[in-house]
Amino acid sequence: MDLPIQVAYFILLIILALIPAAYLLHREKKLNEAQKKMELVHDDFTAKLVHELRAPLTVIRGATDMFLQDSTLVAKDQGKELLATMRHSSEDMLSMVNDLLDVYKIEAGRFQIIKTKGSLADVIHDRAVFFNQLAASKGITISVQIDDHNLPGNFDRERISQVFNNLLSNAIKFTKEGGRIIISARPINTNQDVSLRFTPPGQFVVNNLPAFLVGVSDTGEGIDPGKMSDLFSKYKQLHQIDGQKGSGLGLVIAKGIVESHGGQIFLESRPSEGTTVYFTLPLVS
Amino acid sequence: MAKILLVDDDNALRELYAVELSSKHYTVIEAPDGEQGLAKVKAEKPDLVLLDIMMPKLDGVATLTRLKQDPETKSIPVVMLTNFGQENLVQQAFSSGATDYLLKYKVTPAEMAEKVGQVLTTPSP
Repeated sequence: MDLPIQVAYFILLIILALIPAAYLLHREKKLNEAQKKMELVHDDFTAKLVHELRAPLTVIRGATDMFLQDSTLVAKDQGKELLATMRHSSEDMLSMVNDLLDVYKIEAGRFQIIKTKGSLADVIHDRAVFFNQLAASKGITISVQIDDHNLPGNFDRERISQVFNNLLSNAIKFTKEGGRIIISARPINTNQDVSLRFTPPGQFVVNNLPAFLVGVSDTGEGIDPGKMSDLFSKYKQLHQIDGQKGSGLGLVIAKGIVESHGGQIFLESRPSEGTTVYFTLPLVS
Repeated sequence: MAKILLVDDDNALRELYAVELSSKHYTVIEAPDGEQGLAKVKAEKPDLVLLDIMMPKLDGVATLTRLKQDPETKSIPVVMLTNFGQENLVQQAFSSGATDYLLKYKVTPAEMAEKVGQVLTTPSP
């Protein structure tokens, strides 16, 4: 082989060797960037979590210091108010820790439900009555729209009640005075039966039919379309609204519970018109 | 006795600090966010403002900046009272005119009240 051809051949071999090396380096760089981004998201979540847990702990510690400094405080009206505040703060913390534990179990695939035969209508009426006082204190009405007064099914009553707790407390938080919350539920056998608030029948595909289609609608402020995809992400939650502390993980947990039942959870929202969160509860395991 | 405006969105913490400050015979006014805090400063003319950072509607640093930009309110001492201790936030608060910066999880209510007393008795520059 002539020397120039040999040199050209050699250079070609080097280029061919460098191409996969360059690709691998590029891929590693992208992976490192993605990992760093994930670490930042995790760090942000951890920082928010620490902040949310610090607040009630600060109250408990501060109130304890005050009682230690003044032994007569416990008998005074202010002391009794402080004790009630401490109790409330410890409940807030316990609730946050329980939520985090649920999210951990859901993510680790260890979340368990215990299904028994029961009436979904009972659960709905029970939760509507439970939240009615809180809603009424804000001038909000809760009504129930179901045709069948039984709605028999096979589900984990405690966990499905928890789903309603999360959806109803969110609805109340985001609805102004004079607003309305409607809980609806009905059986659906085909996708043509799926008629949503803003989506015509048949356009939304439900897996696992037949099922109950449950909706919790409010006339609140609605959700910014740019933020809808974040709602079921734990890393975007942990927020506070007007002095109400909480994990903000309600929707994340509700999703885990519904999906453990083989159902789907989704929502529709329009700014200034309100939001409806839907979930399905399959009737056949 | 001096009038203290307590601006914090956490109802329980506001109650705790209000009880402590009242026991030291201060008059306490409260606001749950920065917007209402600004309105109360103008209406009540407090002697000192205790200001949280993470609040809805208007956060503490933005509230502080507006207080210090307004000739009517800029001389009122503002003590930041927060659970956020990041260095950049602390520096930002001081450069925006905060008189002091307290971390809620580090100070007891009594220490907070003592700091309030110190700030009120220290002549302003």
